[in-house]
Amino acid sequence: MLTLLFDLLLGLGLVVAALGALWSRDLFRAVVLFIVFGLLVALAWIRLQAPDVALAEAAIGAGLTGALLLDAVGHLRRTSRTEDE
Amino acid sequence: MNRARVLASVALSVGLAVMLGGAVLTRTVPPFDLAGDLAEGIPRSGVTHPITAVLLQFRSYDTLLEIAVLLVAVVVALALRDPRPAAAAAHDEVRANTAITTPVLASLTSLLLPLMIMTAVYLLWAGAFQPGGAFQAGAVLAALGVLWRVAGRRIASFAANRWQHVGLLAGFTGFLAAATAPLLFGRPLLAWPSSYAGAIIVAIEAVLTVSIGISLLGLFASAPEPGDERV
Repeated sequence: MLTLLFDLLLGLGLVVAALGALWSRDLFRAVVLFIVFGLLVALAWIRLQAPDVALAEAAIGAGLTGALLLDAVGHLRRTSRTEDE
Repeated sequence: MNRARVLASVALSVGLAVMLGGAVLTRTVPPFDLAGDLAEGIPRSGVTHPITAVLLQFRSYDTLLEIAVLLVAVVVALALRDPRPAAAAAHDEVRANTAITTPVLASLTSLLLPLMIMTAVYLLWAGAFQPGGAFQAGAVLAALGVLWRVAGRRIASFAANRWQHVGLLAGFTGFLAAATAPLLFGRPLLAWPSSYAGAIIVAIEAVLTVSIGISLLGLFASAPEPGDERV
């Protein structure tokens, strides 16, 4: 019963994080939600008894991709600022 | 966003959901028993974790090609960088100057460095008998490099470093050498004798971990910097 509740909440959280990442106007917010989404997906993989995939997802999907995207957002902000000046 | 596009994507999503639901409800029993075959083959593989056995023993040809693809991707990313050594130095300078430096961040990165190395080595070692392995360990190493870099620590410049190239190539060439070695003894490609297989797999994974870590960090470090005129 408790695990079913957890799974339902996890599924709901996945959808909310995905929608938030897609519809967010603020790029930084979108990237943070993408990272949250990646971590939730990793949890979902664990619930599906695929811990190998979960490890890869958390490290590459959420961690490295998130860092790359954050770097890109920072780069975009800096270039748009220099153009404004 | 225009209405037609929204409608089209809704229609596609609903169609996919219906198909997925149908697939779940009308699940057929496959005519072969892969899980059974795998369980039977584990004793011959040299490792006890089924995922590692599949990745580096039964389907190791696929993994070899994956490593080749990763290597090509990193070489292309590195080729996009400014080849002049001065540009690489300026690159690191900009990175170090624009980083946020606080005492907390500085001490935290120092604390995390040994922990992350330990985690990577553990993941690599654990891969032989439980979830873990080269990709995960390599990703942790790469994350360590990214953290170090983002925190403004100077790590040796990535473009002009010979050791980086050696590390990048080591994974693929090492794997390729291990893959072709059985041919010298009249055995098929990648067919290691069962008694050595475990040691060979762990050795390959150790080299792959370093290469994967450097590859992923290389992808991150090749991202253009502010002040890069070509962007």
